[in-house]
This record gives sequence, structure tokens and C-alpha cells, in this order.
Amino acid sequence: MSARPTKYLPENIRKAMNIEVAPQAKAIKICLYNFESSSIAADTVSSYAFVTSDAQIHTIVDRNVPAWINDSIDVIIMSYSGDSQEIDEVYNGAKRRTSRIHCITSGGKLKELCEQGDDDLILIPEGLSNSEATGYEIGVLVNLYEALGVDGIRAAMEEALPRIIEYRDSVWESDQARYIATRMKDKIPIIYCIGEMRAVHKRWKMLINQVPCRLAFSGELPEFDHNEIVSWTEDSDNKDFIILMFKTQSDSELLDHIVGTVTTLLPEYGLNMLVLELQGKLMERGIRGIVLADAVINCMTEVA
Amino acid sequence: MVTAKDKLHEFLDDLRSTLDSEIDLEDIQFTDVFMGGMGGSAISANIVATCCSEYMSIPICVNRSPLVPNWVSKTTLSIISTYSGNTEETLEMYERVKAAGSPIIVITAGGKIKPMAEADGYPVLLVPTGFEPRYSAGYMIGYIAAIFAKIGYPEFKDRIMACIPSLENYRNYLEAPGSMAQLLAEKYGDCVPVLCTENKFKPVTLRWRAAFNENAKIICFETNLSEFIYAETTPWASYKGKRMRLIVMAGENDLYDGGLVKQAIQNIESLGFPFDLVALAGTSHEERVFRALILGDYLTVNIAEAAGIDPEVTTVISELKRRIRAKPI
Repeated sequence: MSARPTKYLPENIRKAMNIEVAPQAKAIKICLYNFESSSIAADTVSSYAFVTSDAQIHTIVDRNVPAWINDSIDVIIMSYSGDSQEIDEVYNGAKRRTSRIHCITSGGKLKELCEQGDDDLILIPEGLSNSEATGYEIGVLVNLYEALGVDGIRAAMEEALPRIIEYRDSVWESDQARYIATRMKDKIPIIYCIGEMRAVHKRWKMLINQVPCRLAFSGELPEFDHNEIVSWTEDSDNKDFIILMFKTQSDSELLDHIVGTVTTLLPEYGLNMLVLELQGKLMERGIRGIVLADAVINCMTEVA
Repeated sequence: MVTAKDKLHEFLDDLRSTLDSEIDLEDIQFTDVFMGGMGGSAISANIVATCCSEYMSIPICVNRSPLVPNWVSKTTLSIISTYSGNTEETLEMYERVKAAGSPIIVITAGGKIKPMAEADGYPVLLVPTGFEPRYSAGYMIGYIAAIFAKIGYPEFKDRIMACIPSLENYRNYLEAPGSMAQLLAEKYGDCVPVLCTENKFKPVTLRWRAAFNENAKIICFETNLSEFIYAETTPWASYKGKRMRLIVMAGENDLYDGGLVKQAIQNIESLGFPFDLVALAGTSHEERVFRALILGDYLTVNIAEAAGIDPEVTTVISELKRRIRAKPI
């Protein structure tokens, strides 16, 4: 499976939103297991649902199945390849506790287990790169959440997609993307954003690791502004790195004020830092961050 | 004057002193627990949540945002922690869970939140003042254990009680010359540690990362073991620098032949780049977690001492907080 950035994330989301999902009973609590690159789709969609949904959503990247899973809980297992190492343990652990299991995959062991167990199976096309699969995973997860009673999520995505396409067209092979790629040259990128944008830093990190095969790391506020800035400002040997800091207009004025304060304070310490702004409502701004990652990493080979 | 080492030594005493705290709470059948805080407060909540997921029949959500999910309700127990009592995001979160009608318990040393919670009629569990917030973890964790015991989940508290004698021996060993904390301090004093572990130890790596950052003033990163195997081995294999140092942390009980963790470590070994394996011993997950926490604290304070750095000084954070408060929203 090749790793390459994709220009067509929004189109893939749209195609996947046409994949039919069976009607479901309304969920009270959802436990979403996600592995490897599937965690990007999981975090994108779940961040939206975290604040807006009446159903409680837990995203888990682990092989342990919590004791609170029971037959009233919906468990979603999402793995594009279906062959992630943890699949057997997670599937069998969940199956012992609930019959409400939904699997999102292109095949592999997860598809087999799901068919044998007569669970809800949502198939996405085989043969995609992991980056291309993200759009499909986002689209079907939106459909599944809507079917499980997370109201408004499909409408939010439909509202966001035209603007995301417009944004993609403006950044793909753009001067902005080349500039960011140039700033990252010969540096180790460290990507920071607020927790609701977790999928964004994961996408950047994963693509930098897999496409130019370079080290990259990431982190989130509040750990960044509560702990990590101490070392960034006091460790004089910080010139190997470039900090990419995402700034958005979130749903909390306080959070926006904190991010704004951090982005003005740190350059005073001479840090190599690039502030990237993402516009739009919650669903839109998260996906814009992913689109920008693909556009920049697409330019990195050229810049290198 | 209380030093960082004094506070590290007292961690287990702080923990023990709070485990049996009386909690004044209505007799409600809670459907879930919502724990909110920032920085070290959230890490303490994560430590408890990860351990308890093995045996608690209601879910725990740890929240680091002023925003609060819609599902928080009258049957959700909210535990809001802020050492200073003045953390802006936590104060906003408090107002939101209050508006949702959730019963609240506040853990704090004072500040604005204490009189707010008292006026609202919520229990306040007090942490002593006079030290850096990160040294309050013993109190924070102990209080949460006591709260969980009060609402019908005594397992975490019982497991902690059972391993405290062993943890005290381990702490005493780490304080002695030539201990693992000293050896690792000599090794990691001049590198950028990258901590890699399974998600069940993620709160430990968050704590280590914060301890490297604040105590030793050293940049540090962390990553997840399965994501590392999936995406990060190639860049590490081609990394020619000397400064980044991979530290893989795993429970000793997970290192059996054929197991996922052992396979992952063999995979890393086969790539030929240097890394360290920190195997965490203990008879329970809780013991392994607490051993790791204690080791990380001593290790980073030892680095600070060797470099002549004051582990307690965090100038930039004070400046950031000043600027955040200076601009009214």
C-alpha cells in the first residue's frame, strides 16, 4: 500500500457518503476503535460529534476493551486494511460484551470476523493508499453516526464540502504550500493544535513520516501551553526544529485568546515557528487542515 | 524550604493521605464520570481513567477543553481539578458542567474556584498550597480514588493501597546513589527523548514528557507504539542525527514471546537504530504505572540537578498566564 498525499479527499468523502448504511437503533454510547491511518477519520468526525452529540463517543486506539462495554453500547471497529495487529483481540473482546458491532474496512481479518459474527459490515473500496482511504472512512463514518442518531452531522458535512473543495483548489500546488514546504526543509517539523484538531496533527505527522520518510512529532494544547513551552523557551538547542502551530476560530473565545497569546509570545523567544490559520466551522476547519497537509507534503518532494 | 526532591519523596505520602478521604456526595446512581482539567491535573485524571477502564462499569471521559459535551447531565459525576484554582479554561469548564446540572466535586488548592464551588454547594477537596502544581499528583490521584470508592468502585483505591509498600521500596531505591534514575539521567541529559508506548501507558508518557519539559527543561516527544510500527520506523532508520533518542516503555508482563509488544520491539531491533527499552515491573497495572511515574520524576529532577537548573522555575508559563489574564474577553 503506497503512501502518497491525495488531492481528492473531499471528492472521496462525497463518494463515501453515497455508500448505504443500514438503519440503526439510536445510540447512547459509542466506542470507536481506530487503528493506523484510520485514526485520522475517526478523530475528524468524532471531534465534531464530541460537543454536538447527545450520544457519548469514546475513540480508542488500544487493544483493551473497557469493562463498561455492554449490550447497550455500540462498538465501531475501523481499520482500512482490516489486518491491524490489534484486530483479533479487540473484535473478540468487544463481541463478548455487545452484539452491536459495526466494522468499517476494505477487507482483511476484520471483514472475515465481521461476516462470521453476522455484524454490521460497511465496506470501502480496496486498493487505495491510506491517504485516499481517509476520505472514504470520513464519509462512511458520517453516515454511520447519522444512522446512530448523531443528528446534523451529515448536513454539516454537506455544508462544508463545497468550501473545502474551493480551499483545496486554492492551496494545491500553491505558493503557500511551497512556502510551508520550504520552511520545513532540513528541519524536524513539530505540529501543534488544539485537541479538537487532533486529526490535523496526526495527518501531517503521518504523511511526513511516510512520504519524504522524515521524522516529525506533534502535540496539543493544553499540554503545549501548560508544560511544553518551558522546554521550547529554555532548551537553547531547539534550532533543529520548526513548530507549525495551527490557529483557528474555535467555539470558545477563551481558547482562541489562549492560542493567539501563545502564537505572539513564543516568537519573542526566537523560536522557529510558523502559524497557520484555518477558517470555517468545526467540520470544515478540521478537514481544511488535512487538505493543507496533503498539499504541502505534495510539494515537499519538489522542494527537497 | 520544600525542594523538588522533598515533594517527590512525599508523593506516596500524599497519595496515601487522601485515599480514605470522606466525600460528601448525594447517593446517586451515576451513569458516567466526566473529569476536567488542564496540564498536570488532566494527566492525573488520565492515569486513573486508564487504570479503571479495566474494572469500572461506567465510562470515564477526561476533558482538556473549556467546551463540554452535550451528554453531560444530572447523572454524570463531574470532577473538576485545578491546583491553582485560577486556570481560565477550567473555570469556564466548571461553569458549563454546572449549567448542565451535573453534580460536581472540585479538587483544588484554592484560587477563584474554591469560593465559587462552595457558594454553589459543591464539595471541595483541598490540596495544600506552596509547591508547583505538578507535585500535586499524589493528592489529585488519591482524591479521585476516594471519590470512585464512594460511588461504588473501590478497586482502584484497593489496588493502590496494595502496592504502596512496594512503591515505597522502589522510591527509596531511586533515591540511593547509582539507581536507575541516576543512570538514566546521565544518559538523557543531553538528548531529546522520544517516548513510545502502548496507549495503556500513555498517561505515563504524558507525565514523563511534562517532567522532561518542566523539571529538566528538555524538549521531549511521545508516540504510540502501534502508530510507531505503522508509520515511524522508516524515518527513524534513516535518521543520522545523534540527539533524538527513542525510549520504548512496556509492562514486563507484556514482553512474552509471541505477544504484540514483544513483536513490535523485535521489529524495532531488526531496523538497527539505537533505542532503550524500559521494562516496567509490578504485580498489577497500577503498580507498573506508578513505578514509571516515580522513575520519570526522579530521573528528570536528577537531570536538572546535574545541569545546575532549578526544576521548579517555569518563567514562561507565569508570563503566559499573566498575558492570558491581562486581556479580558
